[in-house]
Order: sequence, then structure tokens, then C-alpha cells
Amino acid sequence: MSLGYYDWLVKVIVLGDSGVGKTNILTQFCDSKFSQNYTATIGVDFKIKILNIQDKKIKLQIWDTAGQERFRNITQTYYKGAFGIIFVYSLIDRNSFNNVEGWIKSILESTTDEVCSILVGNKLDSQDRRVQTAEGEKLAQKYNMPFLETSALENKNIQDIFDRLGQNLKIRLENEGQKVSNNTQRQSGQFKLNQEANQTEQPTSSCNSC
Amino acid sequence: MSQQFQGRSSHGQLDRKFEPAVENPKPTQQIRDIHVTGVNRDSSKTIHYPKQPKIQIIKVPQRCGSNQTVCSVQGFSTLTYDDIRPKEKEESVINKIMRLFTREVDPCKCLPYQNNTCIKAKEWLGNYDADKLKTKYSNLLESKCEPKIIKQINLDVERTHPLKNYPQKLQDLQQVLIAYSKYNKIVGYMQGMNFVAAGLIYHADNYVAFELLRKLIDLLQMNDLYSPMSPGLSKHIQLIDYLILTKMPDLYQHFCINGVKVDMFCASWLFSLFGMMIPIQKQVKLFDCIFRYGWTYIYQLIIGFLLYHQEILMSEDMTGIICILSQQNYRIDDNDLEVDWDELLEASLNVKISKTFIQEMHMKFDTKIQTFKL
Repeated sequence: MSLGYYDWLVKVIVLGDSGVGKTNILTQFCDSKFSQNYTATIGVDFKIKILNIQDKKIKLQIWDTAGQERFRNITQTYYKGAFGIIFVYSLIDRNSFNNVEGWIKSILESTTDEVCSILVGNKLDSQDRRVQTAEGEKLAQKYNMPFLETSALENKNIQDIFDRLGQNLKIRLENEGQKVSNNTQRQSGQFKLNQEANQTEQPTSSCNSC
Repeated sequence: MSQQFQGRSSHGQLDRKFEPAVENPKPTQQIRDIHVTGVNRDSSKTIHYPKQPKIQIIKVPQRCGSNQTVCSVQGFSTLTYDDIRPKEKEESVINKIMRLFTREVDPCKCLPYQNNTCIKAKEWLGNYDADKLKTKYSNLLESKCEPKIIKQINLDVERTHPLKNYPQKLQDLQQVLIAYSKYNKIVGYMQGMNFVAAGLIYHADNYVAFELLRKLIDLLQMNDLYSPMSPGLSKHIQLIDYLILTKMPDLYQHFCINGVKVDMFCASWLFSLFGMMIPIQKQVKLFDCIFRYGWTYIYQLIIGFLLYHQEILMSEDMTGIICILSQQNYRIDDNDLEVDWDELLEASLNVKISKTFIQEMHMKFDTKIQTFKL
């Protein structure tokens, strides 16, 4: 099952309202396809992909979540140990944009760890836009995270989501690595480095607070 | 004659060391035992469904529009979509035969039918008064429904992938879900129910499917799973956790070491009653057993599924484990099934779990404190 050598293993969660295209973004990114016969995610689903950022390989363990509000208390149990978070809304669904702050707050409430996040407005291919680019940018600025508009259907900017996220993760992980090598205390936890001499966990630094 | 499941030896490859034996199948003398280390098979693999007609229904790609099925008569060479297409407009003998046997809705194989309800659906429902059910159902449809719920249902109906080859059934699915949300206001609608309803609609008319859904949710007391906050989920997760510990201690330990928790892979199976995992055509046996054994069978199947993959699971880390356990989920394309579902559904019956024990444990669960009062 493993995809060979990697430098870091990182847990990423994808959050957002039902039907905004979370699964499609992941399918496009991980399997390079768009499925017209797409399906509703129940609970959580799971994907892995190795991301190359410069000279480093980051193995992403991506948790795709159900969007229906009722699942929120279930999906919250998966927040633990997540290092990257992708917030998704649909450009043609105003509500899904309004709810993004709710999703961000649910992360802030349930995890004290600093996480690398990114805001994504999906369905750029559609003509029926209801959320303007400036609004997305403003929200992203407020929470200090990068912002992208994408189309999973046309595979537009999908790779960019993960490249951007990956860049931040790399900076962050390298800081962590240095810290650990300076620090003799090594705890065990959710977060693993795939280097024998370099086992570190539970980030404490802040590079890209969400 | 019994052989063991060997699990997978390498990625995606099943060791088919359990090829069913065909000599002297004696259905009455079936010895079925599941051991902690593997699944023993009996010699008879046949599941006795009503005899299939000698007409073979061939699925045609969706692009052919309304004419969803073509058929071939046994003895003739099998027709493919491409064979037929150039002659589509001709009123050939083949076309006449085709029309004769092409039903409006692609049926399950559980003949005979009454309208669109098959013999299995009737068996699950028991005796019923069709007119009464119809009235009840249509009354429900007339009442009002919360727009938020309708929005979510409409969103999910389109993406209930098991029904992708049966677009005619989508409207039924939508109506059954709306009717149920009005019938059970506490539950309303929760994602996952669409997959359960799809599996039932495949076998039945809309009003029968509604009644089956109602019966199933009552039978399994799924109110506590589908109502907001899902207070009952933990009950099942804890029990499954316990069952893995007792049935497969090695695997349990391996899960613990790697930080794998039951709810990571089980939650979606429970909410959809495996509807997002097991191909819709293979679910007859599943519903048969669930209607008969209730939660006990659901647990048996989960343990059976883990046993089936035990060997490879033992050699994987967390990422690998979750990948293996979730790779059957949401399979749009059922062509290359890596799991022999007929076999697994049958073999899981041999997992020894006491029905009384399960019932007692369910009774002792206190949703407020989320633990069993023992």
C-alpha cells in the first residue's frame, strides 16, 4: 500500500458544505479524473497521494468528510492530528460560502494545534457565480490563509491547492525538524516523520496560524 | 470440504484458494464455521434464489437513452450494444424480442414480480395490504416538508451511485426519502439513508420500498443513529471494538499500535448499511440476513470483512489499513470486484456472535453517558 519513500507523512482534512465538490477535488487530484457519476460521502473517506515539493516528498493522508451538518460532530473526531486543512465552498452556492466561517470556527474550537489551511472556491467552470472573488479573498485574509478558485470539472487550479498547501507544510515541517533536533524531549503522537533519527510529534510552533 | 480464506497476498490480488467445490452439493448438510484465524467454507456456494429466466439482460451504456436493456435468448450468440446499434431502427425480429423482454425498469433477478416488487421484497415485508400502504404513502407525500431537508435529499439522490444504471428509479428514491422524512420527523433525513433506500428500491415499488425502509429502521432502532448528533453510533462502535478484540486479538493489537480506530472505517458502513460498499445487485443476501438477524448480522459481516483481509491488514500501517478497508467504498465501476461478495456475505453467517448477547448489550447502552450500564 505504501507509495515508496517519503520524507513526511501529513494528515489533511477537507471540510465544507454538502455538494461543494470536496470529493471531486480529491478525485481529480489523486486519480486525475472527474466523475460525472459522483457520490455522496458518508462519514469520512480516505485518500493518499505523494506530493513533491522541491526536493522533499510529502505523503498526504487526506480525509474527505461528509458535508451534511449532522455529521459535524462525527467528523470533528477526525480533526485530531490534522496538519493541513482545506476549506471548500461552491462559487454557485452562497450558503456554502456563508458557512465557511462555521467550519473554520469548528476547527479553532476543537484543536489547539496550529494548522496550515487553505480556502478554496470550487466550480469555477459554472456561469452562475454567486460569490465574488473579492469576497473569498477577503475571508481568506481575515483568517490568514491562501485562497484559490478552482474547477474540479476542468481540472483548473486543483494541483495548485496542494502545491500551495505543500509549500506551507514544508516550511512548517522543516521548522519542526530543527526544533526537534535541538530538543531532546521527544513525544509520541499523531504526527510522524519517516526518518529514523527524526521522530517528532505534536507541533508547537506557529508558522501559518489559521 | 472446507478451505480457508487466505486473504490477499499482494496488493489488489486475491488468493483464490477457496474455489468452491462442486462435488455432491448437499444443501442440508452444510457445515459452516468461522474461526478466528480464517473463514472455513462449505462445499456449496449456490444461493437458492428463484430460477432466472433464460433471457440474459445485457446492460447497455447510458448513452443509449431510454432503451436501457437489450436481451439475448439463450442459444443465440450474445448481442452487444454495438451489434445492435446500426440496426436500431429496423423492426427486426431481434428488436421485437427485445421489446418483449425489456422492462421499463431494469429489474433485480428476484422473480416473480408484482408490478415492480419482487418476491424478495415481499418476503422481507411479510403480509401487507397494498392498498393501505399506497394510501399511507401518498398521504405522506402530500404533507409539507422542510425545504432544507428537500434540498439535501435532492442533492444526494443524484449522487447515489448504486442507482446510476437505473435512472428511472431516482424519482422513487427522492419520493421515498421525502416521505420518510415526513413520517419520522425526529430523524428527517441523514446522508446514508439514501444508500439504504436505494438498495430497497432496487427490489420494490416506491410505496413498498418506503414501508421496507420504515420497517428496517424500526427493526434496527436506527433512530438513534440517524437523529441529530447520532447518539447511538458509539454503541455500535464500542461493540464492534469489543468484538474485534475477542475475535481477532492480534488484529486488534495491530490496530491499537497503529492508531486505527473502528469508527475510522466503520461509520460509513453503518450509516449506509453497507449500501455505499456492496454492489446493489449483491445486496439481496445482505437484506435477507439483516431482516432475519438484525444487528448481529451486521457485526458478523464487519468481522467477516476484517477476517477476509486480515493477512494483508497485519502487514500495513495506519494509512495502508484505512486504504484497504475503504477501497471497496463508492465503487462506481463494479467490473473488477476484488471481493467475492456472495461468498463473504454467506461466510459471515459463521462468525459466532450471540444474538442474545447483542440484544442485551444494546438494551444496556445509555445514550446519555455513552457507555454500557453493566
